[in-house]
Amino acid sequence: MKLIIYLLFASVVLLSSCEEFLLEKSDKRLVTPTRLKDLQGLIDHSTIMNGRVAAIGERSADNYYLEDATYDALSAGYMRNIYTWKGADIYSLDENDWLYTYQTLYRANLVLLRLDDIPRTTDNAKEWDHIRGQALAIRAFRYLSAAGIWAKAYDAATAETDLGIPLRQTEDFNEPSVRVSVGETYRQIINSLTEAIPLLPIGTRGYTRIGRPAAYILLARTHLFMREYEKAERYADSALQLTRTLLDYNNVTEDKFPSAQNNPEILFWGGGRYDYNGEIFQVSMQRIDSTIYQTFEAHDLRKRLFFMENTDGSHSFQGHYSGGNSSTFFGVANSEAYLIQAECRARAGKVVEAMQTLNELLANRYDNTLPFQPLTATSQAEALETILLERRKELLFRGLRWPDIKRLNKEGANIVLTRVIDGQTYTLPPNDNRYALPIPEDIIELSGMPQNPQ
Amino acid sequence: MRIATFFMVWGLLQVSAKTSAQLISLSGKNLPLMDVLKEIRQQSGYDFIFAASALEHARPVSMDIRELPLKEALRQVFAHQPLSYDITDRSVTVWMNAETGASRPDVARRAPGVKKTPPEGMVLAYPIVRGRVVDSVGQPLVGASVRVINVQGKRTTLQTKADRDGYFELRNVPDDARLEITFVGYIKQELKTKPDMGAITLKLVPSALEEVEVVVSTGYQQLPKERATGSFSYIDNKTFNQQVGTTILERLEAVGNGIVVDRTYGSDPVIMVRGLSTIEGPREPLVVVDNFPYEGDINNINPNDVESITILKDAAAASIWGARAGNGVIIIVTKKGNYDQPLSINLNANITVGAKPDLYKTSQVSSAGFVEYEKYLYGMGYYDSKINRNPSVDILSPVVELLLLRDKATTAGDKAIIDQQIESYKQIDIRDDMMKYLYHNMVNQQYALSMRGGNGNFAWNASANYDANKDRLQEKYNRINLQYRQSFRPLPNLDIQSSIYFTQSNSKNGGEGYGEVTTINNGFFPYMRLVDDQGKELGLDRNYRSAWTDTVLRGQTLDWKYYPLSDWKHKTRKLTSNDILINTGINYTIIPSLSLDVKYQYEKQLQETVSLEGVDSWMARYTINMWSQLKPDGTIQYGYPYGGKYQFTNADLSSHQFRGQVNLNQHVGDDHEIVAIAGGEIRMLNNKSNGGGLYGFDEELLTFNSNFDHTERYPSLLGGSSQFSNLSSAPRHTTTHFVSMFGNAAYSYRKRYTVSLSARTDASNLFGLKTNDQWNPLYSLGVSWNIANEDFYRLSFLPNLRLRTTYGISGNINPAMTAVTTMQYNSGSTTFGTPYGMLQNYYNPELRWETAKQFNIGVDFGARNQRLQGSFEYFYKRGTDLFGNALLDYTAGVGKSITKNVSSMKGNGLDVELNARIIEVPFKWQSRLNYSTYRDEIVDYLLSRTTGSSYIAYGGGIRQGKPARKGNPVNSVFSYRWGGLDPETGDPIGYLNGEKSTDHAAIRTTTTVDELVYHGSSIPTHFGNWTNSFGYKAFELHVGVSFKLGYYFRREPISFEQLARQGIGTGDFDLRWQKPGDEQWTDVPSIRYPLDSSRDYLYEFSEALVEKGDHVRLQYIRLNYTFQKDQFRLLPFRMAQVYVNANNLGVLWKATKKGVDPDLMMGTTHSVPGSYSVSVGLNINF
Repeated sequence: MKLIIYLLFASVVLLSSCEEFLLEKSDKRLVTPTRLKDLQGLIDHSTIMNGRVAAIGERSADNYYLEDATYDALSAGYMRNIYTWKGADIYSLDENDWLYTYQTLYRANLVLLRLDDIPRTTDNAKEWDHIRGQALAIRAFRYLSAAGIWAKAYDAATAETDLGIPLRQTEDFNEPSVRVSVGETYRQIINSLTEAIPLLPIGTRGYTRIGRPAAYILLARTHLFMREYEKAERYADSALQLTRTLLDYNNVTEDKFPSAQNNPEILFWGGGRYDYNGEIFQVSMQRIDSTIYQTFEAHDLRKRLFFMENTDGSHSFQGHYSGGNSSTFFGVANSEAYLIQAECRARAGKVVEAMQTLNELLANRYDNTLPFQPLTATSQAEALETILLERRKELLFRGLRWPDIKRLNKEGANIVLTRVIDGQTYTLPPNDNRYALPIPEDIIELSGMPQNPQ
Repeated sequence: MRIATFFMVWGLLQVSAKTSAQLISLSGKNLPLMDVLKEIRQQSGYDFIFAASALEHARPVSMDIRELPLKEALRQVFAHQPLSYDITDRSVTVWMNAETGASRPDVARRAPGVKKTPPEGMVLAYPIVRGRVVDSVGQPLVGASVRVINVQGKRTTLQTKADRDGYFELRNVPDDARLEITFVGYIKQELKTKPDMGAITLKLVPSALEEVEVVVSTGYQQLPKERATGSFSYIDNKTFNQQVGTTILERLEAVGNGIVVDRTYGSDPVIMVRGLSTIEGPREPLVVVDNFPYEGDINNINPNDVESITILKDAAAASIWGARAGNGVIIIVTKKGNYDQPLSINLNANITVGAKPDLYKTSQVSSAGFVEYEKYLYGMGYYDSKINRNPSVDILSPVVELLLLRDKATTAGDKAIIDQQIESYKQIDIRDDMMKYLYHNMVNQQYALSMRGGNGNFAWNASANYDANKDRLQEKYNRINLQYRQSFRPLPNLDIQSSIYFTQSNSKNGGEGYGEVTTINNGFFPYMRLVDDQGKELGLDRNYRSAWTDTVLRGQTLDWKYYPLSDWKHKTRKLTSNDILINTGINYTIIPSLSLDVKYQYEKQLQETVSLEGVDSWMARYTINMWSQLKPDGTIQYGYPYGGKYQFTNADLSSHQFRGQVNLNQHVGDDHEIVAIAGGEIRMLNNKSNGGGLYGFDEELLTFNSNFDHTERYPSLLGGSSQFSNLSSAPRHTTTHFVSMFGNAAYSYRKRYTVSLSARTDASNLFGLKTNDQWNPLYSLGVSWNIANEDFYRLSFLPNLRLRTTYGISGNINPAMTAVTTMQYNSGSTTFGTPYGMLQNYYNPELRWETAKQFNIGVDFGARNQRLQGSFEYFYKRGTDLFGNALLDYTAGVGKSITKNVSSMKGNGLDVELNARIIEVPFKWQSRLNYSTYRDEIVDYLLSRTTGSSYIAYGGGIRQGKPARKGNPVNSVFSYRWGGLDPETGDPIGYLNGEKSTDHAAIRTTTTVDELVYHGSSIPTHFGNWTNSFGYKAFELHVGVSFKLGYYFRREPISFEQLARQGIGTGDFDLRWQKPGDEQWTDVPSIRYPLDSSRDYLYEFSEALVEKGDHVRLQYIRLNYTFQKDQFRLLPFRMAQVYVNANNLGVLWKATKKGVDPDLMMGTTHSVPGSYSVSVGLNINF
């Protein structure tokens, strides 16, 4: 009988102490993100936060073409559909750019939501602000990339009715997604960047964390896409006031760009998503349009660094700022600030200043064993034409061509894309509905959001 | 009291013996015998001593005698009596005439306890019962138990043991009693008592075919099966050991009830008890060894140490295990020593030889077909982008290389020679060399020695096992098990048990087999040769063209070739596991009906994995080469350090489990019986692991490159550069704590009606980082009615009949699920040297526990003499709030699907278990049938898409995270409607909006699930096994057959795209449509260029490739011959058995006409078929 009493006693002791026993952390590495350190840890997951930037726009653009044999040998129909702007069935069933774009956005939003729960004190203010700035800037970066692909080009006349992208900012995945207007989308991007800029440091220690210059360039890029050139110029100028550093291609040895951390021009690293089957962008597959290739002069170092010659005499692009690894660079580099500034100055009629900015950039691109011949323009139109060509040449495969075509066609550039396969020609006329790529069909089905008309 | 009577009677005897008169006079009619004898006693002074039965059977006496001598007088008195008598030493003993040849009973000199009052002066005596216990050759069975069983059939306290010559003697045995004689290993005998039992011969228990009392173990208590209300399936030692093998669980499929092994595509085979109870949670049943869940690798336990296995199938049986029991529980009971058991030694040794697999049973594109395909693709320019790449590094097949040469050849003669060379490849089949050089016979050896014994208060058991296996690819595995277990009973009511079980196992990799020897994109060319004409091993080009590898870096690299026959010797992987299990337990009986159990178990498992990519392995040579550079002086500069790569991981598992439990077993009168347990349990589980590795490792000198820079980027020959990260990994540590309270009570009335109730509640630190939602109570109720015990029950041919039913709720834990957002740190390299965080779980406020409710009703029956016994059971279950993969609008940012409570399902089925003794003598035939049905259906499924492609997968889609459709089984096979082949082009035709169509992409994207063809379940809906045992004299033959019926599977397709890219394709390629008219006899589409994965996809997932999975498999045949000492007197041991087993004998019948094994067909390419094996073994008992 005594034993039973002991046992009962033991049970009581057990039950009272088990609360603690049951609170023991089951995995030492498992935490709920509640501290500033945890939030910075999430931002530093660079595979997600820096990598996998949507690339389907670049695939749809005209910087490259495929040989018939290459096109035929593509293993999946959806890749061919991307290439020919079929307007449907352009995504792998397993993973796609929409998935990764919003995966990154979820994390940025999560950081912002959790930050609200952490009081900002005098002790943590600097770190707190830094984290908020980073999350806001990354969010804006991905919204901008998505808007350039899945929404029509910004047009002030129709922005409030054109379909934009969903701007999810919640942690609960049970909440439905809703598309807002293009105007709302761009306002959100501008607001995020405007708030982020003063919170970000001017210089950063690492290329994976975004700093103030990169945020300014993103803001300039946003206004450029909105064709608000005055503002674009102002923010490009702000960026250039913080840093004018460029990579002098004369210092590039062994025909290879330095790794990202050693490339002073890179302000924020972003990797273009290398597709599941990756085929289109493989050096062995894509061919650079020869008309572009021809525009590079012989002593333009980019001609050698950007391209490799194939056995059949054609050329493929290999000049990614990706530190030698095979992914494409879709991040923010300082050269873009120069090009935005130059373009906007030209559009404002400041031809001389515009060409000056352009030449400052090009001086770092030409072989310095020969005297540098600055480019000149006699008219605003010539300046703009020169600058836009240089923009295209400089920013090849940076994920910018597709939104550029959309914007420039709005300006009346009348860029008509054509693909010729096995004798058949496919054409994408300016301002075609298909410039807003279809949202993955399963998303439309699951969310009930309206699809982009094709 | 008894002693007092004893002396009184003794005194009486002595007194009455003193009077003496020799002549007797008597007369009268129908005098009671007693009166007559009383008179004689008075006249003669002789005592009369009776057995009790003699008094009852005496007849009245009529006689008239005058002064006859006593002897003559008695002769007349007893003339018509059914009694015998004897006169000795002034007393007369009277006893019943025995049936035959009764000898004189020994009369107790000291009178025994008197049961009925004898006539005055008469002594009622029970004879001493004597006898001798021997075996069938007359050898004494020393220590055999002899127990007295009373009229009610219960054991009494009266018992003894046979002495060293086998003799025993029992006094005071009531003559209506029976004797029960038992001896371990022998069939027990129950005999009517008689004073001289003579030699009682016990027969050895034959190796099988005899019934044993079934006591099922729940891990918490032992229950006689007839008293349990729940659903228990019991596999005894004999049945279990009809198979030979290294591990335990692999044997269950062939003998278990309600068990099916799900081998659908997607992951390792899973044992399922009564189908699914969860969709996304852990599906494996809980495995319990003796009293506690086994946390280590269950393959550590040696089958030779297993005494019996009990499968707990329904909620009532399993509910005592709480939240982990939702998928059923398998209880493994290991062997123990018994008190009062003489030493017994058992040795079991066997060797199993398995045949090489028959690779020709795998479906592979013919070499001739593949060569033609390559020619076709070459003509279409498929290889152009590889060929034109600068430099052209990607491997081309030997045939494509020849085609390239042919294009460059200038003369017709050269072209003809090349054509001839190309033709020659059509004759080569990679499987020839693989069968000849790569595969070997499997050889498994198993040795098991065990000993046990015990005396009155001590019992022990020790065993040592050794297994050494070498598989078909020369992978080695060996295992040592050492066990010692003892029970000690220092006081009659205190029992202390302890045991230690140690396992050490080692495994070492073998060769790379069919499908693993790859040369291109994880594929290979079907016409590869592994050796040259001289039998010398060939080196193959792997992934890169030799035209490039031979010249790059001016040919100064290491060899780039891959040697499939020997590469595995340089790329080694060794696994060592040490496991120790220590158990102690105390059972203290407070009062006879109440006892206390305290049990504790400690387990520690250390596993070490060491892998080495030696410098001679292809992987090491490739890596070194690829990151080499040519220095200006022409020598090689290594980026990746020269040498091997050595990696290790150590995993350390430890668990403590403690349990306190009170057991009540109370009888109130004859009518009421209460059996109850209650207790609490604490479990702690710790998992730790760490790992690391070294670059530039030299396995001979044990040196490595210590100053290798992990942060540097090293340029690759193909452009770009790579870092080689530090091989050290951060230590991991997880801790699981459980606290549980449980109780279980059963009340029986008059052994007819039993009501049982069980409840359990668990809490752990797993469910998120909060203690909410813990202490989720789970319970069950059960009722049973033993109809056969009712007074009105008269069916003598069916002496056992019992009805039982239960209902219960069990739960399922998915430890990975939490409702809050959690993250995990990873110490990967960021630019800042700080760890980065990865999200693990996403905030999900709607998360709830899974619950599974189960209703079970069953009937147990047993025919007379156990000719037929078994049970029928029906169950119904309902799972709600089941976790499932919900397709998600991935705009949410947490992925394409999420695990959440999405589904509810219902399931039902029938379990039938029949054991029949069909023929007993002289030939024996016993049969055991387990037959089960199982059907389930999705009752509800939230958030699913209607697009058909979401539901399409190999096997059941659920296993691959696909949604399920309401109204269909959880694992359903769907396919696209098949419209045959286009007679003009051989294109596969599907249906788009109800019309025939060849717009394959549109069919894939727009077909809804309702437009798909639904075939049925991908897991069997009818399944079971049937074992037959035949015995004749010392021979026994056991045949085990299993069957799976009522399900569908998807046959391996031909994907033309995969064939082009990887060289992998089925033999269906050769059956493809080639010309109009072919569509009449084939469903295999034509080849077409450009390759179109949508076109392949439609065919792959069309009706045309769905087959019925029904099949019957011959699992094993065992033949054994037993030498008994009673037949072979010279044998130095008690029993020896020689056995031969044939395993994995293949499919006896299958519904599909295609040459595939539905169970091996997992939708994966290159699943190498199993092969039969034969074991020969010897089992000796000393």
